[in-house]
Amino acid sequence: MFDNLIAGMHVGRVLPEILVVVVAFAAILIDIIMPRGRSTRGVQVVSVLGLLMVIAASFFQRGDTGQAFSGMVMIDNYTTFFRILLSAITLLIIGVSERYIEITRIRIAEYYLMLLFALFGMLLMTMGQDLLIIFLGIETMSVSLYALVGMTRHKHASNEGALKYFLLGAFTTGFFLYGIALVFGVTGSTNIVDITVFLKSAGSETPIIAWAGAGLIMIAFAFKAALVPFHWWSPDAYEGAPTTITAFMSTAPKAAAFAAFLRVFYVAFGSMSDGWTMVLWWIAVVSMTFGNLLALRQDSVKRMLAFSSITHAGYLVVAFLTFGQQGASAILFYLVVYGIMNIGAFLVAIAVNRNEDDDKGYHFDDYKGLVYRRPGMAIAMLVFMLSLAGIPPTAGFFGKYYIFSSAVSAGFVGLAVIGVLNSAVSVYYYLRLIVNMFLTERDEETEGRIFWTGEMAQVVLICVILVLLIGLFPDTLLNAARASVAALL
Amino acid sequence: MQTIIFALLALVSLFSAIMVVTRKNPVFSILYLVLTFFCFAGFYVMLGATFLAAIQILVYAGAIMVLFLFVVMMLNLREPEELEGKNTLWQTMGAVVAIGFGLLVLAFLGRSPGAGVPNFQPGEEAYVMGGAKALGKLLFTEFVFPFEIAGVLLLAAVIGAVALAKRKRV
Amino acid sequence: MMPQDFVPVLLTFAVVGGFAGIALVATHFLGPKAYSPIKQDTYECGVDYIGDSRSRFSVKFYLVAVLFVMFDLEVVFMYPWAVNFRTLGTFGLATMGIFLVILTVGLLYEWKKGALEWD
Repeated sequence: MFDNLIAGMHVGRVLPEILVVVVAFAAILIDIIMPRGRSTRGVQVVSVLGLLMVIAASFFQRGDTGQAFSGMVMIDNYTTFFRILLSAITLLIIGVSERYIEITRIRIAEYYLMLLFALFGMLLMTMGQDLLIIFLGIETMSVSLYALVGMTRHKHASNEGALKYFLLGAFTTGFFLYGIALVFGVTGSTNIVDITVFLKSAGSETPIIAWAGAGLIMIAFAFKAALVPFHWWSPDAYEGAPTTITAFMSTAPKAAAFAAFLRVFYVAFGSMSDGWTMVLWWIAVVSMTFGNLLALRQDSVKRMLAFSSITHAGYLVVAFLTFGQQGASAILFYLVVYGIMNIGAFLVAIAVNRNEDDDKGYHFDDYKGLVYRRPGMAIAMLVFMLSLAGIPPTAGFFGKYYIFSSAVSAGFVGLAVIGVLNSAVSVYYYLRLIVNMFLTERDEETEGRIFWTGEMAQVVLICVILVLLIGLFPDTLLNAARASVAALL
Repeated sequence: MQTIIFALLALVSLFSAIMVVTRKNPVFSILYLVLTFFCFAGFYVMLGATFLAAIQILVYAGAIMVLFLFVVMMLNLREPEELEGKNTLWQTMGAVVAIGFGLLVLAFLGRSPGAGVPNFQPGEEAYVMGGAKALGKLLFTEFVFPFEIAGVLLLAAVIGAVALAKRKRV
Repeated sequence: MMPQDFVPVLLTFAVVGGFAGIALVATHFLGPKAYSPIKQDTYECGVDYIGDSRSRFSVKFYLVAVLFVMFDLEVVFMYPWAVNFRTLGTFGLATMGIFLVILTVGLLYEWKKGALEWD
């Protein structure tokens, strides 16, 4: 009896996930066994090599699609797309962190371990075909992120951010579980396929309990993706976290949250789309507007990027609620582009920041006349800011273009107009930084030491090249995104 | 008989749950929370989830409560009055959420759950299903993947807790 | 297992609760009462107290409690496995083995990091 069971599990299909855990194990053992000085190096090498292997395994496995573990997980092009995106983001962050965590006095091995466990959780979220797996994925990711936010223990903001994130996150877990319980109560299953079949056969007479369950699950996803009005944790957590982690949190977990959100709502609750598009319409509007209005008022670049990430999540919701292939592929496209440009922007912010121990760091004034001090860095930041603002010929332009055109072709013209207006408003604060860098005189008083390492330079360069390349040739990425969502719809 | 026990448990759990959120002294809140957890264990037994009931008492009423108590004792308790008034925004939000859930429950009342919704009957079958033996069979065959993930999740939590709470070795 | 099987459990709860209640009420009525400043003192035996009893606990207690909860949960998972040990056979042993390896790595980590030592 067990031979059949084992054969039906298709363990090989979750090889990348197993690899992540094995790498984490190896890192723990190295940290335990090797002497202190050398263990750091060992952990770094193992993490980087391991992540390269994870990406390779995901890539070479893209043909072997299908379910695994009695339908608990689904490996399709969609999963592969997110596997590569999430592992690549984690790899970039791990690659640039070495010197930064030294100066911020973070525990080195734990930093890498928590990133690996967060990646494991996110991978589960993207492939989960059972609400249970998605739940466990969210929890594994969140537990790791809580610890990562609080890693700089000597800083007050870090502790505060971690505590707020943890308390509100634990609360959200309750919402998600309540939602799963209600959906299970109606459909008798937590499997997305079974739920789809049940709700489709129910047709227009969807039981009210299923609506309630879907609503609660939506709240949980909105929290994880930091959408208004469930965004309260994000500015504090983003500000308190070590900046490399802020870059990570605003890209990878957001992508993972949208990946699971898409799968659950497009597939399982697809027959209820009339209801949830209406709710998401409002969430999109307030997320875009609110994030923008708050970002306008910030004097800290880190906080500005944190609030603007709420706005960007709002754009993603615009594409989400079109409930079609075009919108879904626009989301995948934008998640990649946003990841690249945001990580680049945060890295430059780390470099320019005056003093890492200063809670009032990351001030706009630090950038005065940057072009005269570090022209390359200023130009890189210029590219990222233009891309974030959505100005051609950068990748950000095409990202927004696809999102808003998907909204228009799905008939959400009003929403697209609101989105474009918001996009115009956001130009103000991105431009403010550009003006500070290029059109303002150097100010010796606000200048600090530039923190710059070879790895950071490499990653920033990669990000700049990618932003421009995708901006010039968006079709390759768009086709990949289209092929990925085809598995979903 | 069943109805009487259910009503009793429901009353006690409601009462203690209200006490949890209204007590000024957090230690009292926690003790009432223990009572709430015990009532939940009673509900689980009535629904046939006997193994879950035992776990509820072991893990929640036991281990988790100790954790809660330590957290409360880590915070400064000397001036409980200080907590008042400051968090009106959070209180309002809490009230909104509570009312929302209340309305949700009201919406369910008196409605038929809808066509095709599986009907649960607590009976002999349910008690077999909820026992450790049947649960184990499911956990180690169909649900073996989530089971292993739970192990990884616990590992991540252990490392996270040590990373945050343990002082660096010099 | 049937609901009736839990009647003894219910009776135990009733007896425990009843005894506690009766004992409290009985001492209130039966015990002698004497009020004086000395009698109201924290330590009747005459030792002066130092400060407040509600002092803050060290975070170390919390760490111990968290680690306890983790391994408590580990054991909880072992029980359904143990009752099915024969039917699950090698497969069950392997799955439980992997689970235990995962958590043992956690235990080794704690040990090495000194989380099990008090200072």
